[in-house]
Amino acid sequence: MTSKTVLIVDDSRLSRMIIKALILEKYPEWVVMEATNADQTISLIGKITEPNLLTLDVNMPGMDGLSLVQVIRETWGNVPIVIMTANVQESVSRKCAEMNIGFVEKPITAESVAKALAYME
Amino acid sequence: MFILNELQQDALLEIFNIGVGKAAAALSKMTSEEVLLSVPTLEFLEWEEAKAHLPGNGKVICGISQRFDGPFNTEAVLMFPEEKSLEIIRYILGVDSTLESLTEMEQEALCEIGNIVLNACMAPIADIFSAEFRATMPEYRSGTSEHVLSVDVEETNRVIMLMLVKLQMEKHEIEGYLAFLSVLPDIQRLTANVDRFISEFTK
Repeated sequence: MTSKTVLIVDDSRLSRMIIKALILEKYPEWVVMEATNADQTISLIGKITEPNLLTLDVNMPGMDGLSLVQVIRETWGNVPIVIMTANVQESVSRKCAEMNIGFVEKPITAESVAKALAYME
Repeated sequence: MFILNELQQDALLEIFNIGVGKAAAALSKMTSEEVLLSVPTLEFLEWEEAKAHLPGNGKVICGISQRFDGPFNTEAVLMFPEEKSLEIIRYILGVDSTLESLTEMEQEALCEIGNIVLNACMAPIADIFSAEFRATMPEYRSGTSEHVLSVDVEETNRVIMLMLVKLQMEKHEIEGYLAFLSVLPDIQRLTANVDRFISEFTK
């Protein structure tokens, strides 16, 4: 498989660590970037080329993940986005479906990361 | 003062986040309304100091409290302003209630709602620690948040862990809280479990 770039946006350092470790364990040649909040993500948008996949947390200090999707879409119109969240309410998964983005429940496991990566296909 | 390092604090919040997400989903299902969640706050304080951090501004609130004993012990409390609690019961049960006070039946209904929400929260935390919690029966409390959240703090073990998450149901303008309180020996057991959890991913 050709090398891909994944951007993880999550305020939890541990969550970012686990997602990154699980991706690199399976695909060591991939590039995994991290952002801790919406502001960092927005500043990255102008600086890096469009990643192959974005994983987003919902409940973060400042702008939440679902609002951030709208901002990301202004520049990266087609990047596959997956919400990875502990907020497992039906309303959140419904919003994801309406926004045409993926929805994966936390806790983060090898299975949930595989499910997130499948949104690239 | 009890202090966690950055990674321990982050892991602890993330573990509770998963539980709170499940709790919100359970409440949302019962009320057919989206529950907005704040980012949780976590503090280690002396009880006297913690009282100043409790929500409610001295107003009467009601809470459903359950003690969970297992990989660590904690008092979990679901709290709402008293008049809003009646609204939630009416909404869920589809019955009319007088706004004067909660009847015994309404208190029982509220306890059951609390039981469902609090257990939905603690179950995934037990799974993460590969352990089991034994829960006491839910207990209805009414008064100021200081009364509703009272914990047995011994003179020698005055430090408590206070975790608070705000729940908002916009359609009905209901604002509540989920609170978790643990005293020092339980915090140390919790921290040991968090360390084990972290070590699984940092081997």
